[in-house]
Formats: sequence, structure tokens, C-alpha cells
Amino acid sequence: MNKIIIFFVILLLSLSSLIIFYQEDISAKLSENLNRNLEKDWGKDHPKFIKYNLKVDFLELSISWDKLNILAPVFPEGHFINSIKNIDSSNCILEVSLALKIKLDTVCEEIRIGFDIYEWELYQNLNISKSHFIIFGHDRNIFEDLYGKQGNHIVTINTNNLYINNTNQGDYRIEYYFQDENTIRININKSDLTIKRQNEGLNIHTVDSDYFFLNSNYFKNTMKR
Amino acid sequence: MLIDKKKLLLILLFFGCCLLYFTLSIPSNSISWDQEEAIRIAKDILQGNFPLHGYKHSNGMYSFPAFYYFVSPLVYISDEPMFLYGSVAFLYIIGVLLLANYIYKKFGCFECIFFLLFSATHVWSLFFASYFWNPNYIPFFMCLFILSLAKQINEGSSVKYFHVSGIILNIIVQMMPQTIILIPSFVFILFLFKRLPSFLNQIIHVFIQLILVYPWVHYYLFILDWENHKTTGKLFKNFSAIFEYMNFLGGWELTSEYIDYSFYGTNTYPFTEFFDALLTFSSILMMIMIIYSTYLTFSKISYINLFRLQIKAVNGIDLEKQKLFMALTILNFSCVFFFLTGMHMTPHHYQFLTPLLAFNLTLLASFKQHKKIITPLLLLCILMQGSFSYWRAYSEYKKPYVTDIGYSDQFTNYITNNCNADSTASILNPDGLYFFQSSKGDHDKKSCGKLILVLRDHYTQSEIIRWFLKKNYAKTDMKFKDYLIWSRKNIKEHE
Repeated sequence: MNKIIIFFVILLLSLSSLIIFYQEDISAKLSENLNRNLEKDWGKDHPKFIKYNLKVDFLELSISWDKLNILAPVFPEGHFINSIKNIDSSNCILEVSLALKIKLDTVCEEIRIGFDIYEWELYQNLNISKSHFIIFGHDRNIFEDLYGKQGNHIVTINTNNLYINNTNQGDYRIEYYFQDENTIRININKSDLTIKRQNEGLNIHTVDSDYFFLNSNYFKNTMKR
Repeated sequence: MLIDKKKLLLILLFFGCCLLYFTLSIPSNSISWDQEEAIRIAKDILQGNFPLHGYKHSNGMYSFPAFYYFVSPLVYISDEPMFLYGSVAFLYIIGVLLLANYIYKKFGCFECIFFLLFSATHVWSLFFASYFWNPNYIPFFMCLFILSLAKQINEGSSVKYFHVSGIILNIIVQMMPQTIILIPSFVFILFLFKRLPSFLNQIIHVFIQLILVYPWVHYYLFILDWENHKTTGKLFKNFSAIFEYMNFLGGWELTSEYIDYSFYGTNTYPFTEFFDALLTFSSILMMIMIIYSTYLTFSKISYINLFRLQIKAVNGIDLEKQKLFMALTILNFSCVFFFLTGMHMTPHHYQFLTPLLAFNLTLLASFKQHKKIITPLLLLCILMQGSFSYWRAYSEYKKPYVTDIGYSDQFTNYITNNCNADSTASILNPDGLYFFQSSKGDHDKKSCGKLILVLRDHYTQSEIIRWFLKKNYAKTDMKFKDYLIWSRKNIKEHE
């Protein structure tokens, strides 16, 4: 029994030494792989990335970048995703904390988000979008994509300057996680909101009111007559 | 010949329960591409075109042909969905009764009652037995396989049953390729109980197996255009197999209206959380009993060397019963392979467990040492499973979809009798608005305009549906099953 314990201790120490010794090479290889994956064209249904100086530090479990711009994919006219024009971030560092739930903690000097203006129709306390819809399907299910990759993660984003459509909103702290496979819970500066997938579309619930993006069928049959 | 009254009563009770369940639930099933394609291929066979394979599975592999040859005589009798769906239920009942008869003769009334109770209440088993699909005949063949296996390990001459079991296994695998894991378990059981036939018989049986799957192999080897053949590729996908195994035990996925890879489940609103908790609890109880069965089985196997294993007899338990219990547990344990390989599993892949679980847990409950604890637990599971199964069947009967096989014709008659040919009917559900059919009614009937059919539950649950209807439609006095019928406002005003 003792021999087995000693064997495993030696094995662990050897592996740790190897990692420390080769940490720069491992980090460089990981950076290369990540950059390559982000540069790859995954098709018109997927976002594209423009980045500058994106690096992985294996020992610190962190990724840093000077600039990372996300260009939303182009979907049929009126699709909700099309309303997001750009998400640009500068001078960021993302640190991974390994716990029961993996925590991704991101700090950015600046984040800029640009999106279209939405038109709403009010029904009781529900604002239904007249200008944009959402498609849930086998190929374009953003929830399946997100949940599959982030179902067990808590993501926090801190920034000193959050620009929305070029207006600086100041300090912002955003935290989100998946409550279940249909619901993302987001905390923005200590104020909660949930985004819930329903068959009828996407429901955004805030403290004050609810917003709803219809699925393409409902949208076609009501807004586009 | 004297008929055992007790046995007859049990058979009648089981038959009555199943008849009730299937009468309520079969008409409330849909028909989709899989069923239509299976009927088309079976008709091809009847016309003398013998296919080497069936339609493509969702993983991109062509299905084995045995199912289509098996159902072609049924399609010859009738291609009516109600008949074909009923045939699955009928064979399920026959399979269970054949096995129950064996259990009654070999082990007695107590075991037979529990086996029948479990089979008449288990949520997924009853659900799958209510419609026509490749894997849904598996429980029938599994009953035959267990019968053959029982005779093989407990009776003198085992060669005949060895071949019969192998052929039945082949049919089961052709209906659901994932069940291939039963083959190594079957071989292990024969090895454990020293029932492997002579080497010559083993070789002969390999040839039998090859002949049975040859059409499919021939297609893959010599005809298939591999360059244009796409499959989902890798075997390892996720660890859903454990979760889905638990789901098969308890049946909680059926409490959702929309389920993956199968027909819809049930709209359990407003009792969803209650049924979820009930079925999850029964699933945990069954899992505990299965783990205990596995422990009991493997603790009774002594390892002597690689080629020699020995079973330890348990005091107070008939050896035949113990051997059968161990064999069933080993077959059930083969599901571990799914967990280890990370195969993507859903409840219909586990249909081979249907009679196996019932029999295995029944035998566990019949052991003297455990009777006091296991029997009430098993009864509780049966009660929980039965409550949901029969509530579900009644709910499906009360609130069917208008597109269901037993109700679409009824609705056609309804709209024809009430509306003229200018009228149309569309269905509004949480996914959106879909055209259903136009009326074929005479011109002396009134014009109903554009009708919208909404299930009362959907109307109550969905704010968007209420918004949609109140925007442009007005409620009419027309009613069909649990549907509310609305028509466009301007037409009503015009009238």
C-alpha cells in the first residue's frame, strides 16, 4: 500500500515539475491553438473574431488580450442577433478559478457594445418586439451552444468603461450563469435579470418589466402581415 | 383440462389494465416520417422488392432490415396506423403473459403478481408499447429471450435454446443496435453457469448470426457509396447514459409535452412538479434496488482462475431462482458499457430492460431475507408509476391533439358537418401557427372563415398565445375535445 502511495506522489511531483519546466512552451502552444481557432472561418452562422495580442498563461490559468472584437453573424433580416452590431473589448484579462463551479473572471478596461433600436408593442406588462425575432432550431440554437459549453460556469465581467452605442455608462459589473438549460440569470450592477427560452420565443425578465422576442413563426404571423 | 382460476384471474386483470391504458392512449398518438417510411418499406417487401437495409437512423447509419420483414405481414393485413400501433401493444401483452405464465409455473403466484403489476404500470414501457416504431417490439422479443435463457440455464439440454436465444438476440439487435451489449453478457452468463455449448455449436451459431445480418453487411461492403456517406462519427459523446438510465426507470421525461427523439410526452400542467418529484423518487428507489441486486449477484461469484468462476448458493433460495436472478442482473449490469463509452442514450435505447427489470425486481422481492423491505418498496414504485401512467392515459384521452391518429378524421367530420368549403382550420400552439386543413363541407353550411384551434392548457399557460388571439380573433361557441376554437374578428363581425 505504501509503495503505491509513494509511486503516486513521485508521479505527481514529476508531472508538476514537467509542467513548471515547460510552462512557457505549453502557454505558447495554447496561445497558438486559441488564436488559430478564433481566426478560423466557422461559417456564416458563426461569429467572427478580430483580436490583437491574445495570450494564454497556463500556470496562471489566464487569457489576456489587448483587443478582441466580436462580429455577430448575419442571419435573416429582423433576427435578434442581427441587432447586435458589435462587441469590442480592450485590455482584458480572463482568469479561470477551478472550484465546484468553474469561475471565469474577466476584467476589461473598456467594452463597447453597439446595437439597433428595438420597437415594442405593449401587452399588459409585456413588451413584445415588433422589429426583431429569434429562431430556435437545430442549427441555430444559441442556447444549446452556450449551455453546452457554459452550463457549469459562472462568468463575471468587470469594466471601468462600458460604452453602449458610443455613450459611456461608467463602471459595470456583470455576472451570469445558467440557472437551467433554458434560463440564463444575469446580475448587472446588483440588479437581476433573466433570459428564458420558451417555445414562443425569448423572454427577458427585469425587475421593472418583461421583454419578449417572438419566434419567427409568431413574428411572421403577427408583425409581418 | 383444469384451468387454474387464480392464474386466469391474474391474466384477466392484467389484460383489463392494459386494455384500458392502450384504449385511452393509442388514438392519442401521432404518425410521423419514421412510421410512414416503415410502412412504405414493408409494402415494398410485399411487392417482392427485398431491401438490404431500412431507413437511416439519426446517427447516419442505415437500420437493419429484420424489423421491416417482421412487420410486412402486419402491413399486409392492414396499413391503418391504429391497427399497426395496436399490434405493438398486443405483442407487448402477449410477451408479458408468456413470461408471467412461466413465472407462475416455476416460482408461484406472488412473483407472478408483482411481475404483472410492474409490467402494467411502468411508465416508459407502456408509453413505447402504444405506438409503431422499430425498437418498440423489443420488449416482446426480450420476453421470449428471457424464457429461452431461463430454460437454457436451468434445464438439461441447452443447445436448442442456445441457438434460439442467439437468434432472438439478433432480432433485438437489428431493431436497436445498442443492444449489442447483451451479447457479451449472454456469453458470460453461459460461461458462468457452465452452459456454453460445444465448440462446433458455437461455430455454427456464428454462421447463423452472419447469415441473419448478411443483407445489411452486403449493402455496407459492396453497394454503399462511402464517399457520400456521412455519420455522426465518434462513439464517445457525453455521460447522458446514466441520467437517461434513471429516466427510463422513473419516466420523468414524459412529464414534458415536448421530448427528444420520440413523440410528444404529456402536458402535465399544473401538476408538472408533483409528477416530476413522484417519478424521480420512484426512479431513485428502483436504482437502490438495482444496485442491491448487483451487489447480491457479484458477491455470490467466486473467482478461482480466469477460466473458472463459481457461484455460491444462498441458503433458503431455490438455485434455479438464484441463477435466473443473477443472469438478469448481469444483463442489466451490461448498461455500464453505455456509461463507460459515453454513448448518447435516450430512453427508447433501454427498451430491452422492460421485462428484464420487472422480472429482476420481482425475484429480488421474493427472496425470504429481503421480502419485508423490498416488497413494500417495490409496491410503492408500482403505485407511483401506475398513478402517473394511468393519469397520463386519461389526460391524453381527454386532451388529444387534433392531428393524432384517432382524432384527425373525427375533426375532418366535425368541420365538414359544421362549415362550408370556404372555411379553414389552423392550429395554434406554443411553437406558432400552422395550417391544418380546409373544410369539405357543402355550400349550405355556414362559412366559419379562418378557424384557429387552441388547446385549453396552451391558452392558460401562454401569455403570447393569449396576446395573439386577442389581437385578431374572437372566441366561437364551437368546441372539439379540449380545443377552444377562435375565428378572425372581421369575419365574425361580417356575419
